[in-house]
Amino acid sequence: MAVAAPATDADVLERIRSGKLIEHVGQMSPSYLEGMIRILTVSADTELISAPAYYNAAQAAPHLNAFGSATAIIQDELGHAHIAYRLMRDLGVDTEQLIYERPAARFKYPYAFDVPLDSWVELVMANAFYDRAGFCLLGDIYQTTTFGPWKRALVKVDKEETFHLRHGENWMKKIAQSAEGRDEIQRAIDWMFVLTLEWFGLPDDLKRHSEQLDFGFKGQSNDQLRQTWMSTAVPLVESLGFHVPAHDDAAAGRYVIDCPFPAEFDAENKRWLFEEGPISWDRVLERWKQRGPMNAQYVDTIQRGKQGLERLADA
Amino acid sequence: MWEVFARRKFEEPLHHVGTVAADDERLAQVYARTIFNEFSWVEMVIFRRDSAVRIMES
Ligand SMILES: [Fe+2]
Ligand SMILES: [Fe+2]
Repeated sequence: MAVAAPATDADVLERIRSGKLIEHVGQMSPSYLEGMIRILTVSADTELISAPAYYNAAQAAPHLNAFGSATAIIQDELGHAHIAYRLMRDLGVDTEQLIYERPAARFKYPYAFDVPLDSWVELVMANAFYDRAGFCLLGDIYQTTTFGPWKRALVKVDKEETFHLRHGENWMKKIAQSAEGRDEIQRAIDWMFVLTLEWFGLPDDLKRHSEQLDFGFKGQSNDQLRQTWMSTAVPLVESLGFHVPAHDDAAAGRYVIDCPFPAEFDAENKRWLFEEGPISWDRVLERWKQRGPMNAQYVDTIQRGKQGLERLADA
Repeated sequence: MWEVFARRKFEEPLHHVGTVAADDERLAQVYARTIFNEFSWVEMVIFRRDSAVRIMES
């Protein structure tokens, strides 16, 4: 798949310790390369799939200006996807194959995007919650990554994600002025909040991939990132008078989740089955692996243009 | 592969803003303009990556 990474793990760690960044595949070890491709794939797939997911809901925009700001966000997301895929291309990955020929179930974005965003309110809540999750994760990568080309590219991504989550906040404030709007926001929060908590992945005591920390792929752990996200998402929601199943435990200096977590999710009805109590992370991994309702359709949206063009060219 | 340089103000030098992959120059122009649209630049230039002459290794 990728060109040879000639360095050893010791070379890589030595280079990192001396304060340098890894600039190209010639300075990578096989395990650094493999880990970097894995984390770039998740990032690229997440950015890419957010485009059809957001476009679905953007069509419910209340007016043309709103539609314009939603399509500007979608364009940003495609730009972010482009950055991550072309970095992988520089690492020897066949990105054409990766984007256009990979089966839908093998895309690596978070499960949250497999649940359809069906309204303008759900889109702006995705900006407030999902883009904020992206912002936390990429902000952490920006701080700690040892891969120079990615670090430099993330400056632009960070600015744009800030715009996306502000877009969500501003619309929440606007919509929250009517009783009907408030009900709709609360309903969206009820399924989207916990889905975003899940986004950050397995808790630290169950997590593998320790090279993520050694090679500086990641700074904060999954649980720390979940806390970072809650530290701005929960106050936002509460400041507008909405509720979430989490609260700030000031004495402990952390946010505490007040519902069964992880829990069973009914994706068709967008409802958490909290009444069944907490489930194991193995069960969650199984649901993630099976993917959710929109996976095949979104990937097809991305792939069919190219496949159609190839059919025309062959005819 | 093309390297994209741009600047926002006349008193500022061109700086590297990113990379685009395109087989020809016209397509590279379109990609650079649409992908790096985060500012209203006063100037944007692209160079072929393989035209770079490396003087020092990073
Ligand atoms: Fe993004
Ligand atoms: Fe975003």
